[in-house]
Amino acid sequence: MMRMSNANLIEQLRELSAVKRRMLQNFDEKNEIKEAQQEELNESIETYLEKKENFKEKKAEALSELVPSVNPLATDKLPSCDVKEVKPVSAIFGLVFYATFILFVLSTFGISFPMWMAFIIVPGLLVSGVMWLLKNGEISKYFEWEQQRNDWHKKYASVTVSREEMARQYANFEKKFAKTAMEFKEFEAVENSKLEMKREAISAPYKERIEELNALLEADYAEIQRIGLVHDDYLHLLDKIIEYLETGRADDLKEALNLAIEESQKMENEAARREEAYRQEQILREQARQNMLHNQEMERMEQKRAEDARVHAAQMEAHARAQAEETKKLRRELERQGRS
Amino acid sequence: MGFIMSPLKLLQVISTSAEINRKLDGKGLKWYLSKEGGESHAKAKTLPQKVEYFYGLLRSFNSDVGIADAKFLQSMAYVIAATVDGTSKPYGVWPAIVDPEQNPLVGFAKEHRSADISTVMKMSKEHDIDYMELTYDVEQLTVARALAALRGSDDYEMFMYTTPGAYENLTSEEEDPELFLIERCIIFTLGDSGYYDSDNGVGPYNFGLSEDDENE
Repeated sequence: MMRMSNANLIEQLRELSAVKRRMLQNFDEKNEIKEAQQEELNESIETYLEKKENFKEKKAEALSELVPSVNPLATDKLPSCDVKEVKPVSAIFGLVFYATFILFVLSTFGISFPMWMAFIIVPGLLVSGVMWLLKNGEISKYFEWEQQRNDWHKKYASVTVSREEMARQYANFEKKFAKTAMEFKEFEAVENSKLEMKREAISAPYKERIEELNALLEADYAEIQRIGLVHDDYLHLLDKIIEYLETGRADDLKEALNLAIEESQKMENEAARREEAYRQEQILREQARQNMLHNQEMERMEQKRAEDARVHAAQMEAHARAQAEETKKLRRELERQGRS
Repeated sequence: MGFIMSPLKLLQVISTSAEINRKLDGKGLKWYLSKEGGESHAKAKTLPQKVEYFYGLLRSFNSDVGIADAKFLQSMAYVIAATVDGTSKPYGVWPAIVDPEQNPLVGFAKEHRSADISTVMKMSKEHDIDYMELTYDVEQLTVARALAALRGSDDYEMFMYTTPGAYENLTSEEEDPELFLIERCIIFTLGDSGYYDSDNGVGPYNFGLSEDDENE
């Protein structure tokens, strides 16, 4: 860097600062225009999306009526049985139970049986009764399942499926789907171009100004590069650099730049430190609040314990008095009985 | 019924207990591949009989299935009965049709386990996704996997989303009418939750109406 008189340097830096300010202003203006355009366009975009959705929904609803229905054989649950095995001995218990029951009833009506049968009937009735009670479930479940299964088969006995008819329905649906998708694509293309036209209509009045601003921004940037002196990364420190040179805090540009960077760093550190301190304070506040709540809760529990202890003591005393009274009564009764 | 039962039924149980237990017992693959299994297949003439036959086969791979799996297995049994059985496909006739090594749909049903309702509800809660939407997604995954299995491939993703109207990854009717039918039957039978979403365009299969829908 060539050394130049500070006065010249300051003048050049001021010029650089002015170009930078101008550039920022142009940039802000450009952004504002773009934002305004976007806002104006947003409503059109919303309408566009809504139209698309409505179109799709309408078409899809019509299409869904063509969706081939599912055969109930696929969906109506086939009955299943919880029982995996039926033992014939369970049925035998059942038969023995019924037989001994009938004999028992007959015997109560006065019909007599040989002695050996009489010894079998009652125990037989009891044992088979209990076993039948325990085992009848599996047989019942089997027959229930059989019934349900037969009903299922009866219900769908006449249901057949024609593969040709199925293929026809599927092919028909797919053709319609392809047509609908094509219609949607065409609709989308039309709406897209409408939106594009709207976008152009909105941006047209500003086109010239945007181009002007772009040209100015380019020129400003070229000017900044021409003047040089300070790297793009430190342009934001220009005002500080100028101040240090003017006030004599720095003797040359390099010193002023280093000082500005240092000060900037200090400020950032300070801001970070303050933020951290605030965060710590919040943590401590919260801890104190939690402690307070905890202490309050402890106090409350202590009070409750004391209260419970008092109630318990009172109950014990009342119980003891009642016991003593009862004992007195008993003694008086015993004495009275003893005298009589 | 219960404690009080006709003695005739009890006699029936005693005299036909072997047959009854054969009906109740989950017959294994060996039985389905045996002569008896073949005769049973031949005897199943009507569609309900065929559905029951294939359902029994698929259940035999796992006798302890939840509600979602039972529904899935019955749907698969229907697909096999309605569109595979008796076709000219190598696995369209017995014994190939019951063999999981030869019939890709049986092989798929043997391995596949559906997410049951409680799992879907739990996932819905954990990931904050609408329950019906998740059910739909689970269905689409099942359909896609079944279609891939039919091709003998693991690449189910090519059946997950497809460009609108193209059905390009499926078989056309001109190419192979039998495979065309099997594929569509899988789609419309397994994916029938009834969930309808205009973004997806149309239920039950996830063919979006626009390319935007592909990524939804």
